[in-house]
Amino acid sequence: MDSIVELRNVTKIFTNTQGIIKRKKRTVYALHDVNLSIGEKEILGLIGESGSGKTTLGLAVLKLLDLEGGEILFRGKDILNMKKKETFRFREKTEMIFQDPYGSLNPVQSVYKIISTPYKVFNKNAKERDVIERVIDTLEMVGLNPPEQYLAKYPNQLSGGQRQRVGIARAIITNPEFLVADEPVSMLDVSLRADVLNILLELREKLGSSMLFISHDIAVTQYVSDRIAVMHLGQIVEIAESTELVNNPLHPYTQTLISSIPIPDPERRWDTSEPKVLAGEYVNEGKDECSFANKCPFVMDKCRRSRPKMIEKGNKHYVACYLYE
Amino acid sequence: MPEPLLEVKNIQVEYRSKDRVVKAVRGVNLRINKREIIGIVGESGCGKSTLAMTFLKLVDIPGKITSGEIIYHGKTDIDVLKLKPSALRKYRWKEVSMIFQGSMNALNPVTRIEEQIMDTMIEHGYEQETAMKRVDELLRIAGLNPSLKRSFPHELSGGMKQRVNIAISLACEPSLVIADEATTALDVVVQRQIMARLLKLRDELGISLVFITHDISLVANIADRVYVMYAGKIVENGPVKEIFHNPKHPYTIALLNSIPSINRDKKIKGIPGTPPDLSKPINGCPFAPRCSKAFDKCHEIEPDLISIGQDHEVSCHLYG
Ligand SMILES: Nc1ncnc2c1ncn2[C@@H]1O[C@H](COP(=O)(O)OP(=O)(O)O)[C@@H](O)[C@H]1O
Ligand SMILES: Nc1ncnc2c1ncn2[C@@H]1O[C@H](COP(=O)(O)OP(=O)(O)O)[C@@H](O)[C@H]1O
Ligand code: SF4
Ligand code: SF4
Ligand SMILES: [Mg+2]
Ligand SMILES: [Mg+2]
Repeated sequence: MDSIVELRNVTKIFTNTQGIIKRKKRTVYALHDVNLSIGEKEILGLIGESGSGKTTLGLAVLKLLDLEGGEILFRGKDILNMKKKETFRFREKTEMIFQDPYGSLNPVQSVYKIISTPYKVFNKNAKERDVIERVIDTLEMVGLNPPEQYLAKYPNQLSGGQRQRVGIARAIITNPEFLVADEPVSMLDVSLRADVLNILLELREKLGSSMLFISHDIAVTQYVSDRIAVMHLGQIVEIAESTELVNNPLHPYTQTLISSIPIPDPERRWDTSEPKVLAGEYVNEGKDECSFANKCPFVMDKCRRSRPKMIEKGNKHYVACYLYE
Repeated sequence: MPEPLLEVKNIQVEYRSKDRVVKAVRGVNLRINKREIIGIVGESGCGKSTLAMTFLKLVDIPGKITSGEIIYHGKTDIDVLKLKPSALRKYRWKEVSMIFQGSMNALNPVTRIEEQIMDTMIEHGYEQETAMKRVDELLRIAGLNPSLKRSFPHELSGGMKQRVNIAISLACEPSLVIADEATTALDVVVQRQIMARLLKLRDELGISLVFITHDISLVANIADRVYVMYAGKIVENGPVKEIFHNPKHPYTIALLNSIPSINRDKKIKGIPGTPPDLSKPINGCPFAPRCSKAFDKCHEIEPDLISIGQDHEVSCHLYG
């Protein structure tokens, strides 16, 4: 598979000052030596608990963060060492869809203004008539029909689902080749999620874009993604084709995660046993150990001595855990 | 025979402001049996939280309960909406308690959790000493290590704080706990842990639970019976298996078709449109503008809830 985006040993460290009185410094490895590649036309799902580094990864691949280590390639080019002109091209080809359809749209701009702005940035000589046409086509593509009705509206005149579609329209008007969608449906009512997810799937068909789909909802992620990568405290612990990952999770963390998903079928209920994870709250402080060692019921000595490597367990199914080495 | 614990009869609630009246709950009948787990589902804004507040007579200005009756069958029968403030204080927490989505942020930041749990008990007439003795047990029931009792809320994660709220909600030994989107903001593993705890409570303490959530999958996993709410009314209710395997109301069916499930290779479909504005008059079936099955009558007459099988009720003209 040709990859459009490739992360090689990417590390991102945040240093926070914590506590009002004690002022201790806390170092968090939001991304700890991450290797990952996203294929052409692929939708790669990225799941994990909150704080695991999903958003940081999404920002990093869009060149919106500096890194402490590693490199990120877009079509083979190192995005962190791009010249101005290359950066401009890169920005044209990549876009982000945000979680919050309320906060991410400028309230004093009309829908037309919001959606046309990125297009105009990258098509400086476009005639206004062409821009209008382009905006209308894009509105149609995200299911805002009839599009003419929406042009003059402001965000506060739209419902949550309509706003999220405007956010998607803004992201796709430049025909981006790669999109990061960060929790794009988690703030929408259940009844609205399906349509937005279907629009994202159609986009891949129509535009051939690749996508990094970030979500904490595994059912939603499986619905849209070809492959799923599982993150835990800054490390990718498992990657496989979506159905394979859900049916045959190998990593102890993935197993816990999958077994905690409620299935909408009363014949397939949970029992009353609690998931097998050890209690406690941890962050990744950069130690050379398995990120799950503190919570893993199968932890062994070697899990704390060094990090397990990502190995293939057949079927393009990769896992980083000593139980499989 | 199931014994009813709480009976809700034709409850109506309005939120009144200068220029408009929102009819948030428009006549709901509901029953919670002893040792039963009830799920209440529906899109946001359909009145779930407002309805739940009435069970504790917690509706406050600008809200007003304009009609209906709530009967609690405890040691004696209690007419909840007629309770005087002092009796109401005893009823809340001692008979019925509540956990909200936001309650993990409602803990007092400068008070140790031990004291917060004890305060609830002391306010309700427990002796200081008894209250102190109960703290460890309550934390254990909620799935927390009692050694955490000296912590302040900011030292705990969201999931742990929500467990503290479970401990507080159980402090005065209620027979009914209402959880309103109590796990919505938590990660799935933590959610599963808290759900397992709550299920055990029913088994071990024999309490009843009401789960209010927009997450239908969660309800399939825990509820005995389900109420589907739309535009301030119950549009369908029945045993959980009926609701999931034999749904009748077009809204219930649409909701079930809108959610993805792992390992189900089915195209999901959204529900077109949005729920009606509850400050405007509703003519006919409130779901009619979004319903693919709507016919003439639907736009003129609002359907009543009718029985269509063992404990299964639906309000839709397709079944009248
Ligand atoms: N701008 C920032 N400054 C300091 N710490 C941050 C910042 N952004 C993220 N972090 C920390 O990095 C970790 C990963 O965060 P994030 O990428 O937002 O995770 P997720 O999206 O999976 O919830 C967390 O511990 C978070 O607190
Ligand atoms: N304090 C309030 N003042 C005015 N309107 C309110 C208030 N609380 C809720 N409402 C309105 O009542 C309706 C039902 O709300 P709510 O009970 O919160 O529904 P749900 O819990 O199902 O989301 C909504 O239209 C909401 O806007
Ligand atoms: S490497 Fe060790 S600690 Fe990490 S998941 Fe595997 S068994 Fe558990
Ligand atoms: S009454 Fe009519 S509009 Fe309402 S749900 Fe039934 S068929 Fe649809
Ligand atoms: Mg995030
Ligand atoms: Mg609510």
